[in-house]
Amino acid sequence: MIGTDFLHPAVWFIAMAAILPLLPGDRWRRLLPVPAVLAILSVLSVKSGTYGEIHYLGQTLTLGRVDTLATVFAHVFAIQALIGFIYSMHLTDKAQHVAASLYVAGGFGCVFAGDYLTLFMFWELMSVASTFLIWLNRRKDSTAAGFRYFMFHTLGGLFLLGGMLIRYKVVGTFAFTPTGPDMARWYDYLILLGFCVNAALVPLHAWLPDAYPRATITGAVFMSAFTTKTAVYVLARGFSGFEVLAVGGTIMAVYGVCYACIENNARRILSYHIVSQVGYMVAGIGIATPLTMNGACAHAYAHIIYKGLLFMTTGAVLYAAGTARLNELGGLVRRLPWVFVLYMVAAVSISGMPLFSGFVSKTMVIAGAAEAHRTWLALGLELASVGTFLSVGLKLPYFAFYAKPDDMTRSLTPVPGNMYVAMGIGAFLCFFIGVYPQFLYAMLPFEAHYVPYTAWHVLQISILLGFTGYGFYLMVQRLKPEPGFNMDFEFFYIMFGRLFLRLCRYPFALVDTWWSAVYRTGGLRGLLAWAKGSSVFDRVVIDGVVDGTAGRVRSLGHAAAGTQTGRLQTYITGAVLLFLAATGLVATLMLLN
Amino acid sequence: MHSQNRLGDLLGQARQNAPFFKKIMYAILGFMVLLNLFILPLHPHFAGEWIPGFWAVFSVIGAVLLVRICKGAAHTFLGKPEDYYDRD
Repeated sequence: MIGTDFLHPAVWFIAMAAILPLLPGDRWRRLLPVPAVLAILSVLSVKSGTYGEIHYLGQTLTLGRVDTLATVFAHVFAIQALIGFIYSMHLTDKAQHVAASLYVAGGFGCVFAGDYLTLFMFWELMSVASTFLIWLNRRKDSTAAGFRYFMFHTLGGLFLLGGMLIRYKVVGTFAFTPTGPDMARWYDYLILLGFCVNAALVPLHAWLPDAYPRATITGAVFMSAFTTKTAVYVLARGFSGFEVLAVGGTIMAVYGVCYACIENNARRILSYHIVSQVGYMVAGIGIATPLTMNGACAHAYAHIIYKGLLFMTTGAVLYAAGTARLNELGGLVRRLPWVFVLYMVAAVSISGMPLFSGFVSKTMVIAGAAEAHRTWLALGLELASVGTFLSVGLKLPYFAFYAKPDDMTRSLTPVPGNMYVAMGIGAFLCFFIGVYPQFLYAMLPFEAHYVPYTAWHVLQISILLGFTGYGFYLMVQRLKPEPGFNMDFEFFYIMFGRLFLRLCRYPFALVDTWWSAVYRTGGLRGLLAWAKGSSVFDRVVIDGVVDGTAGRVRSLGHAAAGTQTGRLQTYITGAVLLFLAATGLVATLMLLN
Repeated sequence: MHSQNRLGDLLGQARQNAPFFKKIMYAILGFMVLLNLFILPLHPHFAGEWIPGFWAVFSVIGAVLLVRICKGAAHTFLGKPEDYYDRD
């Protein structure tokens, strides 16, 4: 399945998933980053082209369509896989590593898929493997959330499957090529709907803040990188220029920060920030100028790194303190100072502070939107920037690390060294991309010129962030986190499920009981009466006819037997009589003629 | 662990110096608005961008409104206890 010049990165991760369960002891943990390193080498060494075509199900599957768009995503996937596996090196639970490996393999498979059939197979692999990253947290609420997550992704997968099969019937090919908004038919919209489920487009997004906070600490780090960004990739590949994405993305960006302002669980806040940040990318893809498309790709790249870092640092807090609820945290800065510093690097990156990665990618989308004269969308994205810094840059760290007097008594589990190494790599990359954006810009697939570091850009974002800080200072008492959570569209998913259950339990069950009663009284008796009737009919009529015939045959037989006396004179008399009768008959006939 | 403690002390002491940091923050904010008088966009994207201090006002109002509206929604109908869906 591998072309001569291209080693598909998914192969390394699938191989690890296959080998890992067989390895004894726990020294295998040192090998965990190896597939990711090999994947980085694969991505760096590959040249654009088509590799690995295989024939299966009567189709030609393209496993390796490599171009600049695929490469930029594969590049950051490989880096984040390395960071993620270093972060989880302390774990001895093999199942989690196997699930993460298969999940990452699915991500690479989707990015390099040249046709819908290949895409679908890896898409579903991601869906199943990531469900295990939730279940393996082994808590009651994780199990339930995992089921909800899996059912919703199965629904999304079915939209994709239905759309691509109908498209195949009409178009005659599974080739995964761009669809223009003017030419899109209803089956294309079905595929788009499937993609939008994974991109967490509001209102299809509620699976994300429902499931991610309940995943394992390391699982959430992986999941924050791959599922939504794979969806961003397929949208960029297939559905750029759709107005629904431009508007929907901006709504996502604002909607996410609104919830982030009021949530209590740190990982749930970060989950809403995935919705918000992916909103920038989706909006960029919807607006679809070369600048916004590049902005979407650049933002996906930067986002994977800083969001991974955010989940790693809050994961470290959860690991150490045993809770991610802000109302139960506070005053931890003296106990976990490096976690705080590393968190802040990610927080200022996501907020788009100059010198950090978000600044060089996010402003690209906003500037592109404004230059395309989508003023309201650009303004919405600016507002989302305010909300981002407010909630994830100020509220979360303030209430987790300060807010209360220094907490020197709480028992904290020491954070393993490998976690610090992974967080350090992530923080370095956030800073590196921020000060050396050419590293990222050189990879971007479209032709667009953009200079992030102009005096105005830097001043504008500094004012924006500075005065958001002032707004936070004014509002800090109101922002105090409270226990509980805020309802979202998962309310409708859960209510739909319950309604269906009630429908089964009550009306359906009622009709069933009623029908049983009807059957017992009317049906069963009717059947018995009918059976009785049939039996009588059988005995009297059928048997009557049959028996009657038999009786006649028998009596005829008896009569015939009666004539057989065995006396010769009787036979001769009979023969003479018969002869006379025949002669008489012949004579009569002749006379008549 | 040593660096952990020193950095921790440094960050912990920042609390005691809060009034000082507050003054620094106000100074920076004022300075930025002052710069805004001279540095303006060459190609303004929005109508208000010509006006110095536009983004300052936008950010403060945006932040306050976001908190007021969202917290209001959380307090009136969105906020639920964590076991809300587990009850029947």
